[in-house]
Amino acid sequence: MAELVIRNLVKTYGDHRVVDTINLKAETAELVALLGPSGCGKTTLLRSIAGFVPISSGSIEIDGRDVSKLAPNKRNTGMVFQNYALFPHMSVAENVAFGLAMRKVPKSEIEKRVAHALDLVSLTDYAERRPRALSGGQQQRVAVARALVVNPDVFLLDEPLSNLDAKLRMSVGMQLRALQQKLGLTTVFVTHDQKEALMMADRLVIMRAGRVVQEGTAEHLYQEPATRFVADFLGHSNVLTGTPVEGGFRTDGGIKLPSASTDGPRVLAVRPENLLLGGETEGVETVLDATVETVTYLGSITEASLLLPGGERVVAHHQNRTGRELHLAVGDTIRVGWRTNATQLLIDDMSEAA
Amino acid sequence: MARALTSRLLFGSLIVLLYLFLLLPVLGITYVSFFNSQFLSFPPPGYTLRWFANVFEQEALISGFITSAEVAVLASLIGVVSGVLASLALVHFEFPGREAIKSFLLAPLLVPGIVIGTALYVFYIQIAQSTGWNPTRSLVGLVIAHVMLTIPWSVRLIAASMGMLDRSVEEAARNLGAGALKAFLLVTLPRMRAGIVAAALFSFVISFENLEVSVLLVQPGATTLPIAMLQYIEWNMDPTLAAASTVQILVIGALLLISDRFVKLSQVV
Ligand SMILES: Nc1ncnc2c1ncn2[C@@H]1O[C@H](COP(=O)(O)OP(=O)(O)OP(=O)(O)O)[C@@H](O)[C@H]1O
Ligand SMILES: [Mg+2]
Repeated sequence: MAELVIRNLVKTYGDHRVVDTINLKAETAELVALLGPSGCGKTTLLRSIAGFVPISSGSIEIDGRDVSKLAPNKRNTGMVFQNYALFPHMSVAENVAFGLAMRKVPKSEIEKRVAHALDLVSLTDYAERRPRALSGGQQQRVAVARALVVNPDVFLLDEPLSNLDAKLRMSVGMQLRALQQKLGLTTVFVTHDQKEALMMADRLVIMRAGRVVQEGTAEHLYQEPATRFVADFLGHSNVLTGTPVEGGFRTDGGIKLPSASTDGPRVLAVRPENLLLGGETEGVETVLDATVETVTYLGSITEASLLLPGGERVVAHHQNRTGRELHLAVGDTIRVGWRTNATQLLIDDMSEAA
Repeated sequence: MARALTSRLLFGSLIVLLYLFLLLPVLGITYVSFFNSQFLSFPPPGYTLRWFANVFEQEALISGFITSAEVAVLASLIGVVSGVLASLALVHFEFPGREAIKSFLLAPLLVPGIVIGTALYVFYIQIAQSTGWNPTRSLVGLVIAHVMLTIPWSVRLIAASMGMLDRSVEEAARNLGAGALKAFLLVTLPRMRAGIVAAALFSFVISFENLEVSVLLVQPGATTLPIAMLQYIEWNMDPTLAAASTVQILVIGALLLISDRFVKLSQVV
């Protein structure tokens, strides 16, 4: 069990800073999820921890020891590859035994530990099979057992659920999380699926273009996103562009809204579930007349897209509880409103990219 | 229904015809090897096994067979080992001049055999003149020439089989504590088995049947089988060579069957 500390890590390919000055810490037994859009450098960061990517500068410490110059086989990390990377010419048991054999563990102990590891992932009956003769979910469990059996200091997972079908993903994810907690493994987990990250992680690290944008617990990131990018990436957020003015915020469409005033930030964000419709707007600070553009009934919620008087479009989620179903038709005019404390003024880190 | 049947029949007969076309020379040779006549004539006056006996009385053919087999085994062994090393460099590492080296290794495929033979002959004479050691006096000269022929095939087949390998499997081995060499030997090499067997088979056959490169490089009394055969038909027109070929076909067929037990050949080619 160990602590992972990454300091000022940089990886460049040519002029391209794929990982750009990243600082990251995973405490003993903590599961940290690296989350971000495709190409933001998650895999590169994970592979540099494992030692497959020579880093350009910075340091990687496991339990206070700088491992950044060590060969992959000297780092004692346990990695689960996205495609599992099982050894096709070996049986399941031989796959799991491989790391122990490399560590020159005595035969009798290898047998015991392999049996235990296979039991942990409920694959005891499949020990003699070749990986090819297993389902995707079973292969994934072999990969997990193979990585865990050597007691790695750091457990690394690159989108371990992405090759599973949607139904399995949830349950396998929960099992992985339970295993990680039971064994107290320091874990870094890469995904671009926010649901996976929310479900499994102690702490989320949101990455973008090689940098960490924000990190924290799921609640913290969802409720207090630091920037427009985070608000939009984690869940959906309605973003109104404009300028902060005396005592409020004026949208580009010309509506003046009350808000906490600040100098720097430039966009106002409201989550769809914080948009109140019709009678619910009674007594809230902001109320506008909007036109209904689309209505989608999604069972527990109804999603409506609304056109505000300033020309902005927002999405509202209405919770369908018995007795308060919402009857909306396209073209209706409806009152929409929100409390000022449900809005956030955020740094606009999206416009320069767009 | 009827139309589907007709088209299936047509397709089936086309396949049969194609196979016949490919196999006809083999069948023809085998048939001729049983003719009981001094000169090839048709229809044969009768059938006999004596040409098979005659094959084993021709010392030139027997020693040619042994020489060819020795050269082919050595040339394919050396070819396969260098093929593995070259592929490893070409597939795994980025280095300046990689493309140039690749083309260079594949080049002998494009140069006519007789040109390679002549060039080597001249080269060997120069070596003999300046060092006193003549490569054509032993099998060394011939083996070197045949390695040139087998390397392009080995590199091709082995690099292809290595290129199709997913590198993350080797990385998994490194991650589990294997050093670079162990990861290669325990994980990557076994997965290249099919490519290696294919390369060895191709190399063996190419070396074994080669005539035009060898013809200038052999010394009297130590010729290869194809050359011995060529010399035999200069003076004889009997079906002995047909019988020799039949034996050769049987031997190579047996080799293929044996290797198929280790690697399914259908996966290889
Ligand atoms: N060997 C390489 N040479 C050059 N550029 C590379 C190399 N490997 C990765 N990159 C670049 O680095 C960037 C980050 O890649 P990386 O695989 O880390 O992204 P990712 O966040 O894992 O994306 P995804 O979610 O799609 O897996 C990409 O722009 C990619 O093109
Ligand atoms: Mg990735």
